Amino acid sequence: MVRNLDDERLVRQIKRDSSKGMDMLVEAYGSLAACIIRRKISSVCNEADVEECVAETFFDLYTQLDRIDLKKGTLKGYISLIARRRAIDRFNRAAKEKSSETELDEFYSSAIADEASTPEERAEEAETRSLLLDEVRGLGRPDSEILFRRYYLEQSLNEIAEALGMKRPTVSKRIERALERLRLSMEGYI
Amino acid sequence: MMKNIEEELRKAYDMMTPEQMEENISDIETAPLSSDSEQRIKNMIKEKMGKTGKKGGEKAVRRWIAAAAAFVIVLAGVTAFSSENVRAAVAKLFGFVPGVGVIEVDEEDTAADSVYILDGTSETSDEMVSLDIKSAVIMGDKLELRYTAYLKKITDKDLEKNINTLSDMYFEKGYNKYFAVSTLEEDMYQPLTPITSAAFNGTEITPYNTKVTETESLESARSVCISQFYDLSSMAEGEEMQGVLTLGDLSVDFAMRKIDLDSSAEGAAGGTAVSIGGVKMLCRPQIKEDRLYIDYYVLDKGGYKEVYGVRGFGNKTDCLTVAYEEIYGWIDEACIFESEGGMFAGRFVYDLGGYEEKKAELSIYGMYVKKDFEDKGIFFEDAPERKQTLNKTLDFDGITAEIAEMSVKYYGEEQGYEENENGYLVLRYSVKDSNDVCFTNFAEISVNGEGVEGFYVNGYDLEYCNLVIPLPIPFEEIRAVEFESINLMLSGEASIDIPLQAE
Repeated sequence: MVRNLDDERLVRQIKRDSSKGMDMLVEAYGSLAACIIRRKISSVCNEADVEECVAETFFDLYTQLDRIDLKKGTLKGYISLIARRRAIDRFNRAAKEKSSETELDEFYSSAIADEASTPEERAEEAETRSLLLDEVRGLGRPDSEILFRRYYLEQSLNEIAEALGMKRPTVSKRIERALERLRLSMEGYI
Repeated sequence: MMKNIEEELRKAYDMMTPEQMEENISDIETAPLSSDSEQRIKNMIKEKMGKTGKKGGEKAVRRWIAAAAAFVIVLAGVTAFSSENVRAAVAKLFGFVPGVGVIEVDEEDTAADSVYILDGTSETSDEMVSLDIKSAVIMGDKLELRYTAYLKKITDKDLEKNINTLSDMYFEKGYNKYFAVSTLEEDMYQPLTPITSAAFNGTEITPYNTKVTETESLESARSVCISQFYDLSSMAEGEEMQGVLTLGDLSVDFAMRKIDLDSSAEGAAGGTAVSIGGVKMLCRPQIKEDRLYIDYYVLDKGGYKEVYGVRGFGNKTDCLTVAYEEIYGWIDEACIFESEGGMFAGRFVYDLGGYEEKKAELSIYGMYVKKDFEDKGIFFEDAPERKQTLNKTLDFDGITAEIAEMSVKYYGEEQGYEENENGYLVLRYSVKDSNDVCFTNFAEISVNGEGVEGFYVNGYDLEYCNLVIPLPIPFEEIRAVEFESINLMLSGEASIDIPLQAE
């Protein structure tokens, strides 16, 4: 992994002046964390909860700063993972409070291993999903990025179009074609 | 079918590995937050940071015992007792804290300041795997779980035969039901990611961090050491804390025991606290099959960046004395978890086989730590010379290092070094320790602000030795060589004594 000097400088800044350093970190990655979290919890939480969850994410990173190995990952990657986990925890709590069975089931089916499946089935599913992500990577950019923005960050077609400097119909068409290619290449696995 | 692909894609993204996340997220930019939203988030973070009383990256320990006197654990006896009695005595003993300590309570105490550790042992096995929880610690809102999975079907021969195809071997042996096995070449040496789930007090919990190392066990098979860290901030605290960990389809229950750091309470500890050089550790012995296992838990890092565990100091080595005979233990190799700076510092093992005494005394003389420093190094305004006298003295809080000279060498395979196009920077140095702190080695070094790896020490004589640093840049471009952290031994003395009968 190529060392990211900006990340290292940022970590040093946090250690020297935690308040200022964390501000810089939020400015750099706050919107990404919010995007990931909002995607997970917006069905059961409001925007204030999203902000709180983002704050928890960055605080988690702060408390784990000594454990972060920038040779293995970037701050962006770590924040993304922590944000996802925080969002899952927040969703679990909020969903239980709201007793929203339908949303809970839908979320569980996408985010949490099916408890009814056997370990062999879970391992097979994990392998299939890894293969699917390999196929997505094989599509190359911008399709792989479009799919990630659409199906992980849950961005709208307009948001994706604006981010990539494309027209909305182009994004829509690319998604359609990419899914078709994936369907063909994953036939027999899914 | 289109719908299935979309669902599968969402699921696949949700189950991304950290590497896959890195790959996908690297070029992603998102629309900025509104300034109001950003400011609210910053304020919330500052509020959380303020509550912990932290400065920099260190976590404040809210309660700790500063030992004014040594704690003594003695299994004393003039008559022979069976190992069973020894076991019973130790088990009975560690229901109370025998010593006396001064309790210092941080004024910023919050409700979440309890410490829980693993109560008893937790292990289970099937025909493929033995799962053994080595340590479980809750401090504040964080649970650290460290366990080993002993892969019964992997032998030395399997490893030798499959050294370049470990992932294939794991699939063939069927370990893919316990681990996600990576087939990427870069993960060739660490292809296993545990497939785990956990619950605590009936609530499913998800680790926010998982680290995996592998080690050869004493039985020459394969032990995978897994550390997982969980956030329990939504859990209600209670005296009884129960959890279950599942690896593949193998589950093991574990219970946590609260450590009451109030020394006036009896029947509460499950361990004994020792304090050396400002570092507080809990020592928790357990006897199992004629071996004494001492687990060390860090209660307070004492301001150091990392605490590795107890050690000797100078010519004194930590040891167990049984019947006036000194026994030296060893580090449980199955407990060599990837360094985390977390609470569990490790486990020592002492062989009690053949001893029938009811008394033992554990003596500790030193604590092994890492300390951070800033602006400690050699700085050049212009290009340095290929060889020059420096006579630069650096003070590391009482330890004085003198960097006598530097030179640049171009070592190669003939000298037993890896080829490095920029050569090696050799710093000839000597160190004078203080009475209470002993220099062990340089832990982290940077050149022009970039950390370097693979440095080492050679060329010892009575006073000086050579620090050899592979240069990441041509030597003419060097402007700063900084020593960012050093490993130290802290001196202190603590004895742990176990009486047979609880008082």
